[in-house]
Amino acid sequence: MFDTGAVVVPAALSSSRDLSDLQELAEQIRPVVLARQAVLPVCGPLEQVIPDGGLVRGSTIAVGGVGATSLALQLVAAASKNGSWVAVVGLSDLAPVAVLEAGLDAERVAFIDPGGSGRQVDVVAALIGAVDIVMLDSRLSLRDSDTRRLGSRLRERGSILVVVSPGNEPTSQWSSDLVFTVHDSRWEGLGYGHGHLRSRRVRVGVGGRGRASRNMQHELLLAATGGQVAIAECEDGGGTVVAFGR
Amino acid sequence: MNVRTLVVSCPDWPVIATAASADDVVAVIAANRVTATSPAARAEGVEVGLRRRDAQRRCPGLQIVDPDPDRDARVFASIAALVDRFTPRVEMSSPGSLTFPTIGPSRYFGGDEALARLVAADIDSALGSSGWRGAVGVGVADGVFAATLAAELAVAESDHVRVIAQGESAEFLSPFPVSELGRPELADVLQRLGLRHLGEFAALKVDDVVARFGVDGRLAHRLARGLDERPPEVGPPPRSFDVIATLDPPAERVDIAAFAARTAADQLHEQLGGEGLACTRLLVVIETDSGERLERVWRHEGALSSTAIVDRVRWQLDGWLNGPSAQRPTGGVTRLVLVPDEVMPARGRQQGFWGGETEADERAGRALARVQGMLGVPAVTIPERRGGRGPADVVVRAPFVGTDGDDGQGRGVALDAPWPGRVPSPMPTLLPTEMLPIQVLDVRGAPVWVSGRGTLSAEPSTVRFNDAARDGVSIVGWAGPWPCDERWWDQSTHRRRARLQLILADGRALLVQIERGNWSVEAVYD
Repeated sequence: MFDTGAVVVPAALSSSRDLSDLQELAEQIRPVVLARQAVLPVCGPLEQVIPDGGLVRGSTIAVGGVGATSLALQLVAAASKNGSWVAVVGLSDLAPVAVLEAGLDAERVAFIDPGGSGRQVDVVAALIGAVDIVMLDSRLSLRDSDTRRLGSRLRERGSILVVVSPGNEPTSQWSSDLVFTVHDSRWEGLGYGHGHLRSRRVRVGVGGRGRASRNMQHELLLAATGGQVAIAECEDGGGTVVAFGR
Repeated sequence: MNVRTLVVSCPDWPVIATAASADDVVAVIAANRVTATSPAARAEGVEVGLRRRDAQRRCPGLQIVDPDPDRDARVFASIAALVDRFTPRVEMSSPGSLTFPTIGPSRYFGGDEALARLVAADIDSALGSSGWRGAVGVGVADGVFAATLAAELAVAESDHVRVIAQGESAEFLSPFPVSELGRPELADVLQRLGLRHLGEFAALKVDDVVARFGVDGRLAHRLARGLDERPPEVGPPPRSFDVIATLDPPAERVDIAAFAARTAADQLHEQLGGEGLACTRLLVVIETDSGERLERVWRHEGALSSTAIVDRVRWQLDGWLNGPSAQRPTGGVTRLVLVPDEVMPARGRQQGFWGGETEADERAGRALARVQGMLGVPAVTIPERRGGRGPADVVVRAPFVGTDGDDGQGRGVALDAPWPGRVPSPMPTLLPTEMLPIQVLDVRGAPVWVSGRGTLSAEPSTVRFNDAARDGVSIVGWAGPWPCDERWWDQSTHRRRARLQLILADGRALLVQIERGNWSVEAVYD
């Protein structure tokens, strides 16, 4: 009845001016995905480290190295404060106090311990789509076919998977969109017989696919006073040190 | 006209379900508040509603158990099966409480009093075998509200029976405080108006109550007057809303059957919601491949939400499939039928605009409940602030109990509450799940120890992780010792230790402790 094809009158396309008008109109009526819905926020300094400026829904993020746990918690903290649920699967040694200190909302965090049940795939599949962020222990054994299946479910449902490998190289089992490798961890505040641990300077390599494939190196200050802040002096590939304050 | 109702009430049920004996000093604590206690704990002054710390202060030897509604319901199924011998119309209200109308059985067994005595004696002898004689109360009155209060009083009485004669419920209720109505906000207002007892509230005119307190106030007023709590609009559904879930292959395990129940419950809720109705009484029926048919009625004072329906179906399945072998069905579940027995107009539920429960919270709650179905309830935990000195004490993992009505409020103390002697911030991120013994050595390779006065014998120089590795990792920074002497008043939980913060040459930072001369890794700063 309402044949949309009939709306475009060929004669109207004769002049190039009409064509540009139409293009403008098409631009205006294009279905938009709000950027806020597609990307979950991260705290200020990390915004500049991640090529997309936030956690893209449906993506897989691998974090590894000495300091991976702190970085992974900082990555998801802002989203949690913003109302997203975080489910931690495995990581039975993760300290709940560090989770809250990193700034995650205590009302929207759950720890799931699949133990030796062998049902970790079902658990992750049940959580994808229901919670915004799933933090997964890379030590849980998954088959490659499982990771592929979960990965496509992830893209379809728009959750974010953060695979954490504390103290080890980031996992290569998942085809990750973003890979964070933490290294050269240097603590500050502790002397020889005095003081206490205050903050930590780390170098973070950011790689992955798409815009992240340039493999940038950044210097970050993790777990600064209060455990909350991750401010950094950022060192680009060129070697210039760019300091950006809080 | 009110229905004569018998209520079996067991306030200590969450404790009994843990298989503790009556002499154990046990308390169930949910969201930092005591929700149930054993008689021995009550004798020590531990009351329902106390905070965790206060309970521990009153009774240092208190054994604390986490709440688990699934466990409660599973064990309670056997009590329900006992009462089934008296009447087929047993209705479960919650794990630990059931009710049935006495009209038939009362005449058969020779009156309300005789019936109540028989029920009480039967349950008492069943519980008596595990040492819980006298933990149950049976009350008979007009309407569920009066009968429940009577049953709670009856627990303390010698024969555990309290029968309120017909027509005397209003008089029985009048001396109770208004807080018994279960509406804290209303009770607060009433108390400030000088109406402290149900009798005074009941004496108000209905029109005035409705004008001031609205529909819910009228409901509470009916309760206070000893009338049926059910408003007149509650009744049987106008048409059949039965939802049937067929399971193929037959389900032997609870989580598989519960998964089917979830879909069925959603469907039921949607159907009822489509006609503006909500379910207040639900009949759960299962059929097995060996031809058995089991059914049970669940009731709820308010309307059952979709999650609440799923919870009740899961509890019931758990009770049937994991219960005592005498009652367990012999085959797998082939059909699950949900029949709304009684409905009321849905008043709707407003979702939070500023905070509060959102759709995302509900979705996450459901997924977590489903994961609990797969892995068991203890596998899902949430952070709860407790306060303490060590990183493992400040925030702990508390069980996730996703039943209706948990608003997650007041989950423990503030994170920045002062704790003298606390490990300084930032906190370590990893707590080894098992003891990780190490050796801390000085420059000459001799073990370092901490004296009784809290001083180190020598400066630490290397850490050796196990005896097999000959060379240790050298220490590039350290601080301490921070001595910590905790719970010295209690022999069994007393801990005396000293902590060191270490930075190792490979960039790792550790929190290590020495206790009874042995060093171990307490936490890792990853």
